Amino acid sequence: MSDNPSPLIGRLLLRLALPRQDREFIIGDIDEEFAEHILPNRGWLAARIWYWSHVFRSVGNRTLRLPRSPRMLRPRGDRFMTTTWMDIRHSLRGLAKNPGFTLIALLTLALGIGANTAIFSVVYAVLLRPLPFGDAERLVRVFETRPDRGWEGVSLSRPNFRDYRAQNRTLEDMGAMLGTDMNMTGSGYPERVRGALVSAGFFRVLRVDPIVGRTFLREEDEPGNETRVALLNYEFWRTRFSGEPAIAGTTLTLDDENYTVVGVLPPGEPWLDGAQVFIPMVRNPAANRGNFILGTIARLKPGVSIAAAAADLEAVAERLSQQYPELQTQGRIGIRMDPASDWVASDSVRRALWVLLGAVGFLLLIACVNLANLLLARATARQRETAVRAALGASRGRISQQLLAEALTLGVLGSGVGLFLAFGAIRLVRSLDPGGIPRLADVSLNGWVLVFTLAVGLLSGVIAGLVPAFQVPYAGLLSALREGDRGATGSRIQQRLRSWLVGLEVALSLILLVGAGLLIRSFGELSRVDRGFRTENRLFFSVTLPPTYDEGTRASELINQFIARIEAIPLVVNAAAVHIPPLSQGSTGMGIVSAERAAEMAESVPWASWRLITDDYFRTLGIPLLKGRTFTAADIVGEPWQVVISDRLANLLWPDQDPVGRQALLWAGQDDLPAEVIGVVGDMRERGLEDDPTLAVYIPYGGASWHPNFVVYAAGDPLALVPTLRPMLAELDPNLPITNIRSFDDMVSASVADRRFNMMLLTVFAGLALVLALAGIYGVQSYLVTRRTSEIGIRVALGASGGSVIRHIVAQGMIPTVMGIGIGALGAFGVSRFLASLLFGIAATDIVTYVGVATLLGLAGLVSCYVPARRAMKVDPVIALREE
Amino acid sequence: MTTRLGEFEQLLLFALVRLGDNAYGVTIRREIESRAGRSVSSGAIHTAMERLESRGYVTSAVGEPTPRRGGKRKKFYRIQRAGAEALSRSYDALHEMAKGLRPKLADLTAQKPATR
Repeated sequence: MSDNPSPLIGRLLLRLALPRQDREFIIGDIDEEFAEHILPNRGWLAARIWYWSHVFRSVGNRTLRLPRSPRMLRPRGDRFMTTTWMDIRHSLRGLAKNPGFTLIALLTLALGIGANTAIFSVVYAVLLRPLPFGDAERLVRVFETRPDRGWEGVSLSRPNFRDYRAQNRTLEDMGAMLGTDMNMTGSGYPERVRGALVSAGFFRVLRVDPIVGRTFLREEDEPGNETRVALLNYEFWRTRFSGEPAIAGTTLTLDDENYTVVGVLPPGEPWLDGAQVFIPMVRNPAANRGNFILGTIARLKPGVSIAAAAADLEAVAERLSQQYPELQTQGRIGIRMDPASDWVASDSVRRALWVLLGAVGFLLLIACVNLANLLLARATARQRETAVRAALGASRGRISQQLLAEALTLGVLGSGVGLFLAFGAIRLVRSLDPGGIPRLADVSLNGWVLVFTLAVGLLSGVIAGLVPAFQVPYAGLLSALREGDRGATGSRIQQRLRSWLVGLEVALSLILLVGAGLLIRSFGELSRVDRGFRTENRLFFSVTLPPTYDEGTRASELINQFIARIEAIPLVVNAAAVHIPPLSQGSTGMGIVSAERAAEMAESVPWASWRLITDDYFRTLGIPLLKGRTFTAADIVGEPWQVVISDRLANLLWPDQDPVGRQALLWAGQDDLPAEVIGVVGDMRERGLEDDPTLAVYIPYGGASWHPNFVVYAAGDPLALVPTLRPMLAELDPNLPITNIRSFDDMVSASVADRRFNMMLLTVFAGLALVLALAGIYGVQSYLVTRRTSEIGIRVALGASGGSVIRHIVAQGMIPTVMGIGIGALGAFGVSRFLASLLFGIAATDIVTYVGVATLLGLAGLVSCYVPARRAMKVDPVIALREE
Repeated sequence: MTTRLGEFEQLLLFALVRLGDNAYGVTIRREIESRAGRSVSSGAIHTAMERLESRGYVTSAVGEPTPRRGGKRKKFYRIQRAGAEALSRSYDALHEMAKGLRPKLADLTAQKPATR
């Protein structure tokens, strides 16, 4: 087939539409002439036009053996619009006369269109809708990369940001933002707000104008500037301050300092919804170059490409790494710039959405095939009507046109019903919001979505209407007239066409089912993964400490007192604090080497995340202590430096040796702090269930002042503790809010919510596909069985057992299903690699899924074939014979 | 009596006479296209040939598949005695009707029609 140059689709169309006796010769003729004469002489495009014109002319010629109609019988003033309008009215009348058919056809189509509209509106909102920034195509997000450490996108340190901004030649301006939580007091109960420090020019880089007041002035982030001003996020202004227009000039108390509100930002994302309160980030010349904390954006000068700008900053980075040894770059510092079009959706969200859009595309195709089958059956039933119209002089073109018009009318009506379904589906999707899909709350039906829906509806009509439009008038005119309504048997070609369509439906649904099956299996694998810590009956919450807790051991004293009180509650088994909770995206990292092999390891320093923990952390989370000991409540960070490390890290630093009592160098390459390893604990998947277990270094909380997160292990339902915790903390300090209260189980399930969302949607679509395919099998089988009632009667009358007849019928009916499964399996094999990045723990060719789905589809097909056969057997053979 | 031949059928039969042993879809189509300036579809040829065959004017034979046809076989047609007779009759009738009219036709096509 590959050496045949003629267009595949055209040949398929010929195969479908031509009657059997001449098919081979006609296709052969057209192919031969195309390859021998037309293609060599006329060029690619003209040859193709020739080919298609011959496809259509041959099909048209063969489909109806009628004399050309007399001119007088064609509509007068044969204007296209007149006939079109006539066709539409005729279609509507026909549909109204046959409500059962219309209902099923519309429902089938509306399911497909509705699903497409719903997913497209999500795709539009998340991927296609323009950003609320001026000249967004010149905006980029800036990251450093460190190929030597495997970092693909690191935030910038404050000094590096300043140097890039001052030394680059390709950027109009740069802006930076640093998220920080703050306690807002002074108006009722203390409240934790999401704050952000931004460079003064940040909003000017984005080209965002405030809706109230002004943004920050250039001098407002200079050292020594004591004006203390704040900007409010739109949502926060609306909910917390009731959208008060005279908000500018009001004073907020944040972390015990007073700030004057100078303006309100418009709604929009990203960045503008990144915090509730924005305050200027005062430049700090002493900031650490190894502290990668700033989210950085830049606006390219007009005409500058991203590659050129990145190269420009890399040159700056090169100078910086020579100038500042503390940057410790064994390799080079690279620069990555993401265009603004990538800001909203991450790669994985993007991929997942395209996969979903593909899935609903398949669903729509199935719906179209189903509709084509329905139209074909209907056309067969209306053969007599067609024959009469033809006998009265309607040309074959007119009849085909009329049939197509009917399909298109159905398509438009289906779009309408589909819109209603989509409206419901969108509400459902929004309520399922897994949290990881940006802008999901803004998903709605808008102009673009409506255009899309209508286009999809018309396309479906064309796809579903083409086959019957070509096929129907072919059936013998004379026999149709002679036999009257009883002659509505449909030709052999039509039967075969319907079986083909069923096979196609089965194949398409198998592909969808395999996709859903793979996601379900991945999810199963993911929930079985050994995460290294326990989550049952554990409560999680956060407390923010204002800067007054920064000095000495004030913070850790408060933490220890609070833990002691919590542990005094009878229900509580253990309680502990950690500065960055597991499964959160935040991280703090360090290079670490073994002191005796420091020189040898300098080439590739292992990068570990470090955690401040209180003494009971491992017990509370159920992490096993493998060697040595853990901390005591009296341990203070750095006095002396003592650490507990995770098993994998221990094996990396001291392979096959006992690490307890040995010296490690912390923040290797920067500070090289010698520390004693006092214990080794089990590995845990801190960064999420899908990532490998992290290399971890644990440091005592004593003397540190990070905002603590608490984990409480209870003997019963941990949420029952919540009412007691707030007053307990208020006794220690009434100004400290408790936030983020969740059960640890919820945190785990939230961390896989995106995955569950994809899995659920794809499963729903696959389920719908299955139902449509089964309806298709059932419909064709019932039709065939009804037609063969008399044959069955004869067989039974001649002594065939009921079982053998049923087996015969079912076996015949299963042929398209089995073929569809075979073809679908091949198709799924080809398509499922697009899913590969969404899978976990299994391959895209997972045999269990394929076999399972094929079995499911086969069994369901068997039932769809068996039920009509069984019903046919119930007919009394005498009656069946008399019908003949 | 036998039905009269339509114009298309006459073209087909003339093509068969011309092509002799090598008359099948492609050659017939190209013959008619190059001589009569009419592009006809392969489907139409086979349909019409079937009709002629049912009247005993032509016979058909199926040939071997060739790779240039994507492995499809050819259907060869050959004109029969009855076909040749019918063609002669039609052509003679036409010829008889046309006799001597060439100059007049030329005049008519040269000038604009006066009315309608």
